[in-house]
Amino acid sequence: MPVSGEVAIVGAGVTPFGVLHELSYLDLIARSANAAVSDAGINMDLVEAAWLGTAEPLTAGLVGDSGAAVAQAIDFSPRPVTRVSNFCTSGMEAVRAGAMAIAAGEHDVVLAIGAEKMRDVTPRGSLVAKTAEQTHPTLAKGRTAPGQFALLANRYLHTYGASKEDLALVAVKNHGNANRNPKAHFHHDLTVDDVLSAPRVAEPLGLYDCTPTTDGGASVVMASREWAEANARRFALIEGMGLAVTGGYYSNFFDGESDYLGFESTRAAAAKAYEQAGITNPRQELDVLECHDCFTITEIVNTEDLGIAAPGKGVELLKSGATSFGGDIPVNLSGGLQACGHPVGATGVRMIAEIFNQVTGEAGERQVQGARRGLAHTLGGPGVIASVIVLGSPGD
Amino acid sequence: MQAKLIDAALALPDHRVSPRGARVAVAAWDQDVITLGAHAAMEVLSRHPDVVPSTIFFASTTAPYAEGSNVAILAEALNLAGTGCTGFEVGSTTAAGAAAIELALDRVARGPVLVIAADCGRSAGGRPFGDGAVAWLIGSQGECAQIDAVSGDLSWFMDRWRIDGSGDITQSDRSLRAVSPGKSFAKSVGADLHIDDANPAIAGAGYLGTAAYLASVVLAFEGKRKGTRLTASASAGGASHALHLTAGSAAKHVAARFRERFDCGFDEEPTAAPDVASFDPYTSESRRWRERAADLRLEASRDTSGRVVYPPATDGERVGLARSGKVFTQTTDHVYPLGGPVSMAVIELDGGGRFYGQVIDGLGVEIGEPVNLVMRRLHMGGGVPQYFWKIAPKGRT
Repeated sequence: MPVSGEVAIVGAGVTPFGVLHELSYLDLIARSANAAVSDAGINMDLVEAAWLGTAEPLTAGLVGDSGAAVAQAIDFSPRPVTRVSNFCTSGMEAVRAGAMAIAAGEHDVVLAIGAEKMRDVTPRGSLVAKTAEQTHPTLAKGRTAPGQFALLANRYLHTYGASKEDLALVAVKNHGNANRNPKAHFHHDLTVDDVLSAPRVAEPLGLYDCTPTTDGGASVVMASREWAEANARRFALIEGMGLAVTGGYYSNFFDGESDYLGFESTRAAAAKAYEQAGITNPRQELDVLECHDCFTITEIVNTEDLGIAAPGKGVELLKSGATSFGGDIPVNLSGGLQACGHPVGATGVRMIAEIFNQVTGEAGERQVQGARRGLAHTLGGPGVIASVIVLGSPGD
Repeated sequence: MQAKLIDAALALPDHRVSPRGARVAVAAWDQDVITLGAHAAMEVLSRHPDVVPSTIFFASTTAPYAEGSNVAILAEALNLAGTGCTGFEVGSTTAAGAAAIELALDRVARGPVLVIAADCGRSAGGRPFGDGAVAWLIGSQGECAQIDAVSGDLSWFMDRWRIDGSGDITQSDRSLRAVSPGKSFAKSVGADLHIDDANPAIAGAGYLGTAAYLASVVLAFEGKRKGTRLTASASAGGASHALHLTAGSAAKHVAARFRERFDCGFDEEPTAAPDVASFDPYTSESRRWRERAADLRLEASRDTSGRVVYPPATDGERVGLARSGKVFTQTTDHVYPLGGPVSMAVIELDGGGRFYGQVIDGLGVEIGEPVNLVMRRLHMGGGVPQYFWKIAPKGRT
């Protein structure tokens, strides 16, 4: 059977996100997985299998390279666990793998876990060092993640006449949102001036245009619709799910097709998810979004790629307040990657947990009143992988 | 069989310093004799696509490999590897540039000969001498000059020297020059032009080592009509060579092109090399060999829809990326850990496809700006120079 309408999220657990010197990689797995199972109101015994999303185990290398991490972190032996990795979509890949196993009828209840331990080293010792030293010795040498999205930002500003101030509004909005999320990495308001006067990272992006380097874990318990209807305290159904992979890591930069104004991967993944969910007008038919705001520019182009704004109109949408708390299509009420941080494998699962909480009415202070349907989106690598999942409350 | 100089090209670094008043061309940290030599050779070959060298002579005293191969890297970059083209390296004296021409005359019966002479990083007392490369394309037909060997000689004489592995050049007692065998050799052959370690410094570039002879001979034809005769000798370390040349119709044009290049450049110190002491990039000799065409001459592929794909796909027609284009987008990156800030750009190439990489010397570029791709030494990976391409704004090389 298809995933759409047949697979439910029935519980979620998210650790605090931040620089968590007191927690190990395995602690992040254990804390979030146990919290999700407890939220689902079940015992771990009932969970039949797990998928672990981790992009880059860094100091947890070997341990985090396989599902064995889960068997070590929680009492799970001898059940099957597979580690999945797909750049920044790794977390949502764990959810997707679990969903397909349930739809296949192989399991009734599974765990999707996302965890990333990035701050055992300094931010520059983390993925930046990997980019410089451990990758292909000639291609794109000089590339960093902010440097890559800065290429998009400059092309976008050049093409549509937007400004650095416009980009800064994303950081201001999402940092404001994070004040309503006790688990976010940052809890401080920003002004446009703060963003513009921050140290430069990769022109036109400054420090506050960029997601920080963060530790965190997030897990969701997933079950068949049938199981959820009979047993769940609350649940949301996966209405649509799309993953699109549109090119290679380096070849993407040398490909004459890319317009550097958005991502074909997001457009393709969203089209698939919308088709499954029966969505034809996402702006009208979605109530809340979590999207991949790794850099301020990314949220702007994401809203265009996801069909919330027309091409080139992402800034206008942002300035209208529609994507703010209280707007008609709020984006990244959690604080997003901008203020939650981006523990890579955890991010997608955190977003699914967020939308799950929103559509089941348990998002607390940041609850969108009457939210029935929401979307989570992650974007990976140089933008060649995107994952989109639409969650809805049952009975719609 | 007569040997003819078909054409010549000069590659000089952009930067000029004037330590004692006179301008000296100094290489950027990521240039060396391979990158400069490749650029001189690519230029001369690009003007004569129908001439395919069957021999390359590479003359240098400052080549990166003391053991290994320098000429094979050049052959790969020039797409001459695997064609049956053979290569020879001559060095240990700055007269090696002239020696290579003398050798070329013996090889030209087999087919066209490419002579590349380059030196980089020579200095005395920390004072740079001048960096650059010259390429001569020699064949049986050519409009630039006719070349005949006159003679050569050997006489052990230490005017300047450098022991392998040491940096600066040692100069002997200047008064010894009075008894230099090079001088008497030049006199004996009736040289109009004599190149040795003290003479001449080329205005705008300095003393170019092995390349000095090839550059000076071309410059000697400045404004000269067809039929002008020239005897030019070179001596260094006691090795002497002399050639007799007769200007062809193209000699003055090639000379004018050289002069123009000596006169340009930017009077600014080269940017400092990034701190590479702690940089230990992933490297693989297997990878370096397998991808040599993609690295050294930007070989790409074309898919069935005509789209240019780089790095090249497993299947598909092989095409070379164009070396010129316009900036599509760019950034200045302050967090890349090696050097910096690093200027990065995506280039829309003239022949299709794109290039993404570093702009030389951290120079900023604007969207829409025309640029060229230039070969540079990216870093030392595993103790071996890694050559690749960077982006040069218009007017830079």
